[in-house]
Amino acid sequence: MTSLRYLNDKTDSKDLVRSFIKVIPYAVIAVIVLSIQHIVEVVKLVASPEFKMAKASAKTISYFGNGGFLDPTLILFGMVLCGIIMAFMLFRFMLTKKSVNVYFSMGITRTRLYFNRITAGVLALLLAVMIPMITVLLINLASFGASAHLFEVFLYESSLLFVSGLAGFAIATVASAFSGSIAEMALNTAAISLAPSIISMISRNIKEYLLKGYTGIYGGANYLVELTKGRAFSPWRFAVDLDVSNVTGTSSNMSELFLSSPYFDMADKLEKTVPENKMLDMGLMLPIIIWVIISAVLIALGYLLINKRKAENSNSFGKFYISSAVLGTTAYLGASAIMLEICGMLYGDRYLSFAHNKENPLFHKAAICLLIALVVLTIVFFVVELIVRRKIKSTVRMWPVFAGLLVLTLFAVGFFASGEFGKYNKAPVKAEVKEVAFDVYDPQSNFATHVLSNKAYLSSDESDIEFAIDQFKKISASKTVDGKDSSTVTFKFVLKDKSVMMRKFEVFDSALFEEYMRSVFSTNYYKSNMKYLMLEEPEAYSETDENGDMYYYDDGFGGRVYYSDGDRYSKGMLKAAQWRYASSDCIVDNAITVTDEGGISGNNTPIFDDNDALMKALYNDLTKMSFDERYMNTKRPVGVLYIADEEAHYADGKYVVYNDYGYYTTMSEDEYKRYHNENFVSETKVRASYPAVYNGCFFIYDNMSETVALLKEHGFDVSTHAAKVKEVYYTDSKLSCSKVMNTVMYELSKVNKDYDFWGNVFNEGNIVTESFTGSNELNALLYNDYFGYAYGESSAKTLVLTEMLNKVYDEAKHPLIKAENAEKAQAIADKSVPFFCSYKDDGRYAFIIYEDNVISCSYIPSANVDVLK
Amino acid sequence: MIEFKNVTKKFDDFVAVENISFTVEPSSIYGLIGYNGAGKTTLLKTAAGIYEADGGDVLMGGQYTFDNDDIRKDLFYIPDDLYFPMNASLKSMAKFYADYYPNFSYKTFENLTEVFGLDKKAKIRGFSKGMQRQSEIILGLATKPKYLLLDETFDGLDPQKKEITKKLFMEYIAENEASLVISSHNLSELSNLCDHVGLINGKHLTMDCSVDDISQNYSKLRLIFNRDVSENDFRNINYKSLDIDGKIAMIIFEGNSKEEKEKLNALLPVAIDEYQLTMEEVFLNEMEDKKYDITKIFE
Repeated sequence: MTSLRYLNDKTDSKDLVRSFIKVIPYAVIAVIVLSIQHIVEVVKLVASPEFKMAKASAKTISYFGNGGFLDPTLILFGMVLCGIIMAFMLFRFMLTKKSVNVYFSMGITRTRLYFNRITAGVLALLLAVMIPMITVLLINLASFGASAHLFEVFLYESSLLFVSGLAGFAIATVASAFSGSIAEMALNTAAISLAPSIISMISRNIKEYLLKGYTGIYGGANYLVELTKGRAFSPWRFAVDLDVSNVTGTSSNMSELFLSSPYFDMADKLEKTVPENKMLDMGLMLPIIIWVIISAVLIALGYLLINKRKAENSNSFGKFYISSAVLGTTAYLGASAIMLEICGMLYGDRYLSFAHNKENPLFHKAAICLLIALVVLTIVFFVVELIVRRKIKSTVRMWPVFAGLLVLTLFAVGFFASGEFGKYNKAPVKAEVKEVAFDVYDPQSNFATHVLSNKAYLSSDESDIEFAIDQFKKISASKTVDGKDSSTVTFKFVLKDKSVMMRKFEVFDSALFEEYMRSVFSTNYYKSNMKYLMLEEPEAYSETDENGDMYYYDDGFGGRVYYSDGDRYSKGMLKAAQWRYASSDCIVDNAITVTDEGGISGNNTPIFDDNDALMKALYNDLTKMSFDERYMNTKRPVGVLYIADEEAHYADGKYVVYNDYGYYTTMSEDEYKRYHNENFVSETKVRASYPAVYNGCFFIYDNMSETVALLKEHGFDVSTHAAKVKEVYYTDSKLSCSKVMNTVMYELSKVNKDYDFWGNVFNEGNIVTESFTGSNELNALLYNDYFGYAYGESSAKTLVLTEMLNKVYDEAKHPLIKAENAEKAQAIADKSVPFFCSYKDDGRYAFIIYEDNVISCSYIPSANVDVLK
Repeated sequence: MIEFKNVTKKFDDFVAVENISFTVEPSSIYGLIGYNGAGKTTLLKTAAGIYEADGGDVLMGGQYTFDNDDIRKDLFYIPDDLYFPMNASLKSMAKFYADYYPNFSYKTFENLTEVFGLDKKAKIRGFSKGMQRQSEIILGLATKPKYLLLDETFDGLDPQKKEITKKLFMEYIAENEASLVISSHNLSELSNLCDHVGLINGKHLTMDCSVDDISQNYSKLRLIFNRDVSENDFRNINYKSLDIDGKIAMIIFEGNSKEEKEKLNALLPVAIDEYQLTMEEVFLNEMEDKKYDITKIFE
């Protein structure tokens, strides 16, 4: 009956029309912007000659013009803002006393005033979106013909834009229901709309900083889950994240449509990857549906609040308890996020994560940190409340809200700092574990640390499971040592109930860490893992795992960023790689006037063309070697096998190519060939150069019989550098190898000679151990190859490398010491190894200059430092 | 009929009005008087359904007014603080109110506009305060309400417009059997208009009676003596106020007690004249507990 009366009531219909008229200007602006963004772009495409060609080849399915004049992100933000402004225009009558007197005394109930305005706002938003979108749909229908995808894209795009506006509208509406003034409404709208992002930030950081063992950003799927939980609830972020297919972490080809890539490329992609019968991905639609529900709940809440609204509180600030609670809570949460960030920065996760452990020396630091944070939060909350409510008595009345927040804070800190009350880091029972993976460190080559990869090798071997549980217990119980560097160890347990337990620990006890690394060498896992990487047939590269989770997200600049480097490690990875071999004679000219741009770049070394045989030989040799032979060898290697420094992999007719900034771009085979003309080797399947760590390599020693024989068989030079040693310069014998760089850098900064210094930086595939630049007098780079053989470049072309190095070190007040005679120089060279061969850093740093002018930046292991005396 | 039944309204801890009850009959004009801040506006806004009463009810035609669109279509409230949107003219405001009040009469609107001599197309915000008030009165009466609530409506009107407005209200009430409540702190404005008067003092309604009854509630006598008199001479009289000037005494006491008059006759005055109290005098007498000795303020 009520609804019938409602429909027939002229007062209501007139109020609805009046409300609608109020928001028409904003709907018109939205229509204009969306039309320019979409319609103009689509018309431009349809009118273009390229389109006619594409149409002839029937490649194009649909185009909605997201590559228009504005970034789609701005369009989505604009829609949220449009919704907010509409709500503001419709409900501001409740915020001034004069208009309240009129509207609340007229012959229309609050309920009808409210729902007429909701209807007007929703209708205006709908029209604002549908007018341009239906036009685009019609152009698409006329140009491309009807297809299921066209309607799916239309539904997706329209609902994304509409729901973005609706989200802003619903938030501002509910904010108006408990605000006394326009300023208060604006503040509450901002507070509500930002709260999900703040909560998301807190929830991520609180785990990162407090929960010992949390894998954090490197947790792959865990991070995606965090992203989903937090951002899907942010009115500003959900649509934007959807646009870059980020929210659900679910693969969806539909999302590709909304990237601003060239349209023919998109259409091509669509045609190849989206089967005709594939319906719109529900994972992609979920945040949209979530926001429809949230908006409905907010509107319902607004209805309840408006009916209970005290008209006398209009034209006021801070009179509504809910408003004060919202503003105070948001300020408290915002301050919590900042405090967490500050505490995290000051102390790092290593300190805060020990908040629960009284015996730990860091407990007091963590406790003080927490105490300071609580004091700051208390001050922030009550200062904000005092500003809002302006009376001490009214401010004090907010104590229940503060008490609730305080209890929540203490609970959250207690919960995470105690490792979910001890449950989080409890080692699993052997009987429950199906498979394990754990870090296998390779200090020379990072590719063995891959536990965070979704494709990491998993072992079901009983001894491996026992080893993992045993090490997990030891390492999780290890103590934090203040001010000391740490290493991380990660464990992955796949339990029989299919759940995955992944934990990452920082290990501060170097002895414990070394013991771990050594003991890993004796496990079955070590060998099986090497076999998995080296001998198994490589898998075709996939951008998704078996669950459809994507390994990458769009960086917003047309490239892709992987969640974890580890996500690129998979079965047969090393076999699939493009291997190069460098002998110890790869550097032939060390003069400062080097003109060969390639220098020692690995690109100039030969590519090994028989990976199967190479991997077998290498596997057999490596698995026979002890930890000390691999990583603390005091002999000079005879050569090095390394993975090509171009990072690219082949999948679905595309090459994914790494660039210097960590972004990925895709290239067609032709583009890739053009880009890498001189180096490209046409390979089948994934036999392009495979993603690798820059210095991913295996040093070859003369006792690696099978590998050495194979290399010789293929005509490679397998011998140590033959030339005699001419001169040796070494650094202060009191400084360890790792400290010398820091000291030099510090000293240089003191003398203020305009030097910029980078230690161990990478430059176009070469390892640069030292780089001194910026000086007016000198601009020098010292390049090293895998053996530590080096050449230099200087702006002062007349200087030779030794002069340049001497000058720099002199100015740093750590002059290089020259070996006094040829015998001592030879002795030092005999006792030194290439710089990257050892993971230890307690030896000394030396430059060895051979008679053929080759220079080697070398390392004298601590056991051999007596040679310097 | 408008019924106020034990109406109480609080603002947080502050009680603005408490337990106020009175009735306004059809074809009746009820004057609500009281000091500034006595709670008159609060009571009217509660009656208009803008505020929700914390206790008691306001009924119009037997129905609750709060958020009741049925009854509020017949109700018009003219607040002290008027609302006109930016660029609004009398014409556009007429259209606005016509949308919300089904009985809105454009004929009445036209007639009233002519009476007050206002330009229908001019921006109301450009009008003087008095003209804005006239505009709201025109619009209010054009909605043809059964219940009219007016808050300090004569404030800002010139004497001529005041008289016109009074007549209009009286005519409208009589013609339409409407009930009107008007608040004011200016008694002279209400003196010729209301048939009933209520006085709010100290959050409560301290007086509620018909204007005709007011004179019966108080007696005002002037006594002339052939000798000088003092307050001591009147010690046995239960008076409300006494003003002595040598041989002349002006005395006011409640009711029309024969007993008191006999006591006064016993004082042997030369002459006794009886006067009717003005509303102002009644108002001041009711408020006598708030008397200040002004001479002491600046000591």
